[in-house]
Amino acid sequence: MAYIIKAENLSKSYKRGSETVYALQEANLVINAGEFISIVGPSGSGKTTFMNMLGCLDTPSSGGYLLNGTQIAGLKERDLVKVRQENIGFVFQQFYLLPTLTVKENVELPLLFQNKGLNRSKEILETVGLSHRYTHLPKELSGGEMQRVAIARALINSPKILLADEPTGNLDTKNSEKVITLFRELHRLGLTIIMVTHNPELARIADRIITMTDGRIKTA
Amino acid sequence: MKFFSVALKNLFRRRMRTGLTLMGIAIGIAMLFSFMSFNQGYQESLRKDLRNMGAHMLAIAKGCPYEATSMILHGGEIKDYLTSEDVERIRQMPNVASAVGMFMNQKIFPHGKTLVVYGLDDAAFALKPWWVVKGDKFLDERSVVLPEEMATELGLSIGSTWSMPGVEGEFTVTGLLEKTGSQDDQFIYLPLVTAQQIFEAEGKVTSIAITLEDISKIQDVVKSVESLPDVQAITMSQVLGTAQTLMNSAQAMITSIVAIAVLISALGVMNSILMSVFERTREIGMMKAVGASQGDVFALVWIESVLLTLTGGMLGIGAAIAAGKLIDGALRGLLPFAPSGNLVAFDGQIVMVSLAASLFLGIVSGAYPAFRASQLSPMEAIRSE
Ligand SMILES: Nc1ncnc2c1ncn2[C@@H]1O[C@H](COP(=O)(O)OP(=O)(O)O)[C@@H](O)[C@H]1O
Ligand SMILES: [Mg+2]
Repeated sequence: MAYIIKAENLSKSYKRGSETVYALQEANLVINAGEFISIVGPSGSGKTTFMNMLGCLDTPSSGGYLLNGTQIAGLKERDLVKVRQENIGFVFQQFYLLPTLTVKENVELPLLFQNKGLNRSKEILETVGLSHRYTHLPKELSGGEMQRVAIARALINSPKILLADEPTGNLDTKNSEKVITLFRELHRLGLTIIMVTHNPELARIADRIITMTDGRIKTA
Repeated sequence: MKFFSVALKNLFRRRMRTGLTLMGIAIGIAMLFSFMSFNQGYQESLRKDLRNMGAHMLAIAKGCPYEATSMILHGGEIKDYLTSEDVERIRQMPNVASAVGMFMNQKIFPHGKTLVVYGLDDAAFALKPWWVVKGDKFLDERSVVLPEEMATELGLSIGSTWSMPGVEGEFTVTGLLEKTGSQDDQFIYLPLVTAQQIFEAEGKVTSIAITLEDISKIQDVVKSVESLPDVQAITMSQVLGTAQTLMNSAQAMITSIVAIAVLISALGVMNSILMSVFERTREIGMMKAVGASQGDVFALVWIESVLLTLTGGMLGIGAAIAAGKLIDGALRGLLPFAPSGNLVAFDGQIVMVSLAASLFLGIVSGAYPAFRASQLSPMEAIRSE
């Protein structure tokens, strides 16, 4: 099977005073195109660090990362932007919608930075079940709706991989389920999804669960 | 959706802060605009005043040149006189086309105003060919010509009788001077001899207006005139220069005040935009995570800054135009010497320069916050627990 992600001895370290702290230590992982992965682990175990690396928001201290055939380690910010634009959709725990923009404008925000000349915001908002909220402002939405707008925003550039760092962390059970159902639907349509979660029940829905402790990936 | 609208909407997020920053910029640009308008108006009015003199140079009794400058333009009381003989001598000098003796003094009138009384003869009228006098100039020694506006204010018309405090007998208004738009609209005109009698200065004049046959010979004429005892010659360019000297220190002060105001408003913009960048650290991180480059983030913040200063600038220009009359009055009170006419005069060029200054302010004060924003790490968005 064709892999889309291959991490090889991927490490990220920080200097804390005189000692070196490893937020991520020699992570090795291969993810196939179309897989749905969940990452679990205690707080501070390096999940976010790993996600940042996979999403090309951060560069590794050592090791290699092949994304869709491109070696990411050593790329400059300018090139990282392109890689992100073409491959990655991000969903955050805190949604981060711009309060001054409508639902539609929030979803279309990434087009401002990379206009593919193709605006699928209507279609995508239908997919996430919010076409009736088109002209609403974020403050008029529930938390679950906001997160689905954020997911729609992540999808606008037709990414190959959807990265979600605790996407249900701020949601109640019912809304969490809605988000997960949506992820499953997107997965069924062929999207590669990597999701960090605290909730073991939600994690179980994925094809594969990866557990992290102390900056290391536990091999099951 | 455009960068522009995202930036604009963001400014509406903190209305109070945006409003205060706008006000700072508006004040700074209004001051700049008024200052430039004033410089222009001042120069124009001064030149116009001088053209309205109708002479190339003046001869006056030796004295303080500053006082003389103000006198020449606005009238007042001159204590040292020249004589009719001086007029005659100057008239004989080579290159002099005409020399006209004029008499000027002031009187306090019952309504509290100090008015300047001008004694003229026909030759003096000839220096002002653009004057339109309704009725007649002087019919006899007891004639008076008044500026039309002043006559209307006093309820006088041609044929009315008029008296002057401390002067026996009455005068007849024989002519009305149509509005000239210059300092000439503020004087009372009497026949030269009458004016001399009233102020007990028979045969004396306060100034001699001289026109030349060849303006390039002006320095020669100055020399000849000053060879007369106790006579000094003042050329129009000297008057201009003296007025400018009087203005220089005032101008230096105003320039520094304007510069400080503009600097403070620029710092205000920088501070306001910088604060908004720090508050939006996570949002900016999110934008980078969803595909914004450093340049995109820089542009967004920069546009905000420029929008702010351009809007503030337009408000300031509008306010300055609206307050032009007030500013004129305030400046008149502050200045050591002010010509008549509009002290504050603006044109399209001053508007454009002020707008350009607003744009420049936005570009300069937005650059640093925009740079800071562009350098923010996209990880900030995710690392937010
Ligand atoms: N910028 C940083 N500087 C120093 N230490 C960091 C930095 N980012 C993360 N860490 C450390 O790396 C470890 C992993 O953090 P993180 O990836 O956020 O874990 P998780 O998302 O699993 O809670 C933590 O100990 C954290 O304190
Ligand atoms: Mg985390």
